[in-house]
Amino acid sequence: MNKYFPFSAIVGQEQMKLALILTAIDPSIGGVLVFGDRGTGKSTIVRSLAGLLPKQNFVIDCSFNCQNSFSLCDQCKKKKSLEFEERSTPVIDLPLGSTEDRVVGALNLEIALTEGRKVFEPGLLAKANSGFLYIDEVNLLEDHIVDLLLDVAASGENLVERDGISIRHSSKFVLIGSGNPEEGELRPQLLDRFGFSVNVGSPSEISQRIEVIKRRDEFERDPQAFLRKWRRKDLTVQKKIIHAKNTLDNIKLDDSILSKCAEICIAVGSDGLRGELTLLRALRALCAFNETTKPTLEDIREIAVYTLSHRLRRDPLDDTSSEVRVKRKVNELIDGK
Amino acid sequence: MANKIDFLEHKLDANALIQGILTISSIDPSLGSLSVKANYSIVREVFLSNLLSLLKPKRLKKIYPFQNPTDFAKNINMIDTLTFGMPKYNEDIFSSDNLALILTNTEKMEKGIATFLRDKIKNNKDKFFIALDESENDEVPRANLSDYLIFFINLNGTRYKDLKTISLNRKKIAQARENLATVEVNKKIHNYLIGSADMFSISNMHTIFSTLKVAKAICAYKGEKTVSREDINLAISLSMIHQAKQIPEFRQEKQEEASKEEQLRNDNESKATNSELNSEDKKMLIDALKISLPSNLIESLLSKNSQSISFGEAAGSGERNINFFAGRPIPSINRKYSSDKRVDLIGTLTKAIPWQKLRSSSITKNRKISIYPQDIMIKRFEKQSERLLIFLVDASGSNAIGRLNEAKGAIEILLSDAYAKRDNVALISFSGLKADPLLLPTKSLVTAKKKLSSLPGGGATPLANGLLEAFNMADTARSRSIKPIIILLSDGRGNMSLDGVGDRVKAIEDTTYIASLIKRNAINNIFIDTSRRKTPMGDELARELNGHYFQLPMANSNSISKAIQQSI
Repeated sequence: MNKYFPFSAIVGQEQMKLALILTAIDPSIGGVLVFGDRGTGKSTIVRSLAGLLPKQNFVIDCSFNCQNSFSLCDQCKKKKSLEFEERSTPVIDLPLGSTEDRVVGALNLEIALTEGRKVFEPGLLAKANSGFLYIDEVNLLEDHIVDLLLDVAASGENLVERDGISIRHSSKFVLIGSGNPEEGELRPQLLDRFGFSVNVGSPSEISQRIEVIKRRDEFERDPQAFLRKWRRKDLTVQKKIIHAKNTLDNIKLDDSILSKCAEICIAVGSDGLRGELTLLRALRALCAFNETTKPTLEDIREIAVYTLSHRLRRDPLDDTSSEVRVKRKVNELIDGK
Repeated sequence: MANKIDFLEHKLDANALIQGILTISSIDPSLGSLSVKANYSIVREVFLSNLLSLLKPKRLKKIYPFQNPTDFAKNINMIDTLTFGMPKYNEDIFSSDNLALILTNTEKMEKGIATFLRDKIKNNKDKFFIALDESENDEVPRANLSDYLIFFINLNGTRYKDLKTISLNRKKIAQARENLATVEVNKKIHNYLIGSADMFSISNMHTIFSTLKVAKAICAYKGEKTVSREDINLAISLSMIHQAKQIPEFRQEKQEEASKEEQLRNDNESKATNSELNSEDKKMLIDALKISLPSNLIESLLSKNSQSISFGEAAGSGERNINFFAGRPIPSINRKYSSDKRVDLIGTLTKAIPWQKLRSSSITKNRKISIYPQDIMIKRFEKQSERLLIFLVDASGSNAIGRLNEAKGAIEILLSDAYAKRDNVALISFSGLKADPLLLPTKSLVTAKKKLSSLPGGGATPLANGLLEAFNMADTARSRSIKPIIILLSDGRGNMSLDGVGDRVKAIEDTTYIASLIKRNAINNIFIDTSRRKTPMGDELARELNGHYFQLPMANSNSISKAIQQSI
């Protein structure tokens, strides 16, 4: 059904896969930042998401991806009755060099010129509503686009005031950014918006690399057969995600876990409270995915690095990776008692 | 008169390469991308026309480095739409098949368009990309494009008479296309391929996988069933070697050897110092310098500097430049429309409205308002231009004792300044016989710092060479509308002429000449003199550079602080 490489067939890169699954379970975690060299499979994994994510109910003929549970857009509010259809969760690309018009939306020139009517042409932010927004080379994104994204990501709403148009629509999306750290740094404000940050590298074992090449070869030779072969595994993961979404509210976080998380955040010196919040949400999602009822210390150990390593107050010249620093602190705090 | 060249047998010169590349990409059309490194020359033009005459694309499209990706999407065509009064579109060129694209000047390409094209090349199915790269040696084409180009050819050094008309064996190709699906690859070959990639430090799985595809195409062309080691070897030389990064251990050894040689050669110069300080010392040094150098050093020096240079600077002299596609919006202007510009609709309508009565003849039922091309207002934007800090570090013996580490400390502070400003940085060191660009322009300060800390000291002082290297880099940056700033840390005592002779008089002459070149081109510079006391040579150089000059005396933080305060 889709022509992308299946999620389950990707060799290794477990961290990135887990991070994406957790954000799919709880979008409020806030997105995934993936740093790594070229050709490590970053974009392959993101593209494969489309086949993995559960379908959602959307209003038919609504270009803002309105859903039952969310607040409706102005057009849908006017409709007498809403009809729904099942569509797959959108995974939208935001290419580098996109203009502001493409991102936030603009006046539809065609209609304006031919019919003299003002009609809003929705942009990428509308298309990505209740889905995923993927930015490749996010560290090279132009500053004024970053400003726009920050604003929308913070408010969950896109407010357009331009070309004589005034419109407001909800735009809640999971931001996925990927990039190569050697090409530049990311602005701290944007960095903070990502729930997880993961580093990926090429598989270091020869056997894994061979497996990568073999599967890719098999995929290109006969995509249909390959997809069929892996479809079941993808569906298993999908079912687990749906199940986890439904049980998310049943996960109890007791005070001992909360205080442990706070302790860790203070120890590593993460800025602001977003670190704690993300860590707690991620723990909850992890438990739901693993079908346990209560997070353990091991869960914290597994997840803390990804949620905190990009939130440290950074000395640009300190090259000990923040990942190592967080890991050290977490291990100290968990094993110390 | 076609020559009988068979790329399977022949040495891989330009002719055999064309044949091989075209054969392989006709067998497997997803492999059609080639990087051609050559300046504009008759050889390149003949090469391209040979290539295109064999390729026979239905359409040929040129893409220029400063185009905007939106130009290639299905877009409303403003002029036609207004002329005909109904929507007309530019077609999406990537939707047409059998298309050849020539990407010109890829070394200058903007990030946005490069990333856009890279995506197209990565997911190429049936198009042929030819990326022309006119970079000089010290320039790298946008890496995110070149990493995904499958083939590579360097035409520099190829002469016109070497180029021959070549032919393709179309019959064999057609057969190979049918056989391609049945070509088998066994485990041994997989192992061999991964092993070779490892040897060249290639970690990009795309490169590895496309090499395998090339090998399969070669195998199919030969009419064989399984890929042999020979096929893989040819594939590696066609599509992998040019992506190779050096092997780290090997490079380290070489460096050590080189520095040993230099030590021997320059016995009269002071002995090389060990550049490695232990981390505690380094921290103390940095702390000491942190106190002494004001945090906004670059900024304050520059604002003064731009005033002190009286020459009119070239376009983009200010920190900001005005353009038509990105940045902070500023009032629009009345210009001719072209696809790289964006129309300010409200402005256009405002301009057209007073004329509506006069133009009433052209207003019909379908066309409620009449807009003429001369009404069109174009949006304008203002953009902060990028900056490039070029650190030119004297790592020679005369400078090395004691001073190199202080210079490094000073750079680290300037670097954290650069971080706050999001500048690009580059690092050039000079010692022994030549100047060495250690770090090409990058935004990654961690890489800059790593390179800096592993910088060895020792050898003669080819100051002129260093300045020339920095000047060339600055010039290149300018051509990409990045504002360069050269920061020289040296004692100013060059003793090596441009042609690598240890002649003090000639060395000073050359240095003065290059310095005046920098001055004449109005390239901003800061000269931090690392010698113990002021020398006439340092003075002379400072005058010639006409930039900012101050001394980095012995590490007495108070006096440095005072000195800098005074010099600002």
